[in-house]
Amino acid sequence: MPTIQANNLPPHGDRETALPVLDRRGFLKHGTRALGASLATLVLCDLAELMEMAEATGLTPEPAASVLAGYDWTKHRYVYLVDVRKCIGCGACVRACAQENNVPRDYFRTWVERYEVSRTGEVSVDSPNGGRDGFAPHVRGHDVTKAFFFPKLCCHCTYTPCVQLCPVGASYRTLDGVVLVDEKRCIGCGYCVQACPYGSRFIHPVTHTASKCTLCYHRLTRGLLPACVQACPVKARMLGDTKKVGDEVAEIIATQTVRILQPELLTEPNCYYIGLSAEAR
Amino acid sequence: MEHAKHIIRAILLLVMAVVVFVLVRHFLYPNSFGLHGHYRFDSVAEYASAAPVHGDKGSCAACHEEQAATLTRGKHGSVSCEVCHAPLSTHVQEEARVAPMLVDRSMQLCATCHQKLVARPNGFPQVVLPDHAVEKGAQITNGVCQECHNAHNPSE
Repeated sequence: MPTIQANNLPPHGDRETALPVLDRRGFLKHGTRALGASLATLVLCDLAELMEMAEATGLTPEPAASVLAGYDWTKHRYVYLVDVRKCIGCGACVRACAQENNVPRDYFRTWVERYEVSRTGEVSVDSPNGGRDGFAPHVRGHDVTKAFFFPKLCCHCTYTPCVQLCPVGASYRTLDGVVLVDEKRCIGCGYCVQACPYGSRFIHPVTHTASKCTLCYHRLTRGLLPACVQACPVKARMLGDTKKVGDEVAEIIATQTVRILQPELLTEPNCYYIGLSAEAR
Repeated sequence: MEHAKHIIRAILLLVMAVVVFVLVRHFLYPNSFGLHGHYRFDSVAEYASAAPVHGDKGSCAACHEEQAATLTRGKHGSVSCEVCHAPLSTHVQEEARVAPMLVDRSMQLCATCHQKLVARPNGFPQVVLPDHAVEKGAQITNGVCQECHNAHNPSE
């Protein structure tokens, strides 16, 4: 087998004449033309779609703000109000939510906690099955001087930690104030689940994407109340709309003593509580 | 202008870079992304298009006028029908009856609201169950509460 050594190679000039190799100038010239031509074809084929995309990226003026048929999301800004003093802990809201949104068993988009406080400040909290089946009477290890039910759900914060850290733009807040998850974009990394200070998100066991309270967005856009609000037999849960003139709930929030959860986090929740005791966390 | 073609080449390269960027972005970005923020706007419409499972408060009265009237007269007037029965769509879909509505007469259902609990508001009507039924001399059977109380209007 002959070995090739460097000095056995044909001289540079010979190789160039032997093979029809393009010089650099020629390569760039023809290459540019070919690339340009293929790109131009692509662009022409895709012109219609490109125009759409230009719209989508804001390169051309936006179409009308409302794209949802018959519903103008610029005319609403939802707020939620829970009157803790009225809640009887029946769990109708938890059941209604699960049925309305097909929430998997043992996962909760809303749930109810029971707080029992002793004179010396001991606090016991329980929430069997998220309060879905109501609560049973039981005996605490300590005396109970104060007790109440504490319904919880997504606070639909104005400054949302869950949306800020989503790496794929799957979590977002709508113009009418509802925090949603795009299930088709979500990669199920679970960052938002950990980021939510209110524990209102979970990873869906079937889709493996983040799941949460949508304020029953499909009902809101049809002019219906969220399932939990409609199910509440004592009107402890209320939905308001701050953009509606003379809204009853907006009026209560504006004029009465209300509380938000963990105000120190500056998330500006849009879920308000009336009559919530200091022990509530 | 002997260097004009250098400038033209540079401009051509720039134009190509822009076209490549726009094309790549087009294929990587989903439709409607960025229309109203850093998210896919179509997702909002997808949420909005889901079919409601529960009806609204008036849905049941459309067929069950009598029961609805009884309900509104009494103390259970604030209780939505679907709380004790079942969501509307399990019974009616597209204005056609698909299945009989669930009727739960169990004491457990009444107990979810009326079992005596410390955490319930004081003014709310509560009894210790099943002691209350036993005191009144009733047998603990399915529907024991209905022997004395009309579920649609408990004071009737």
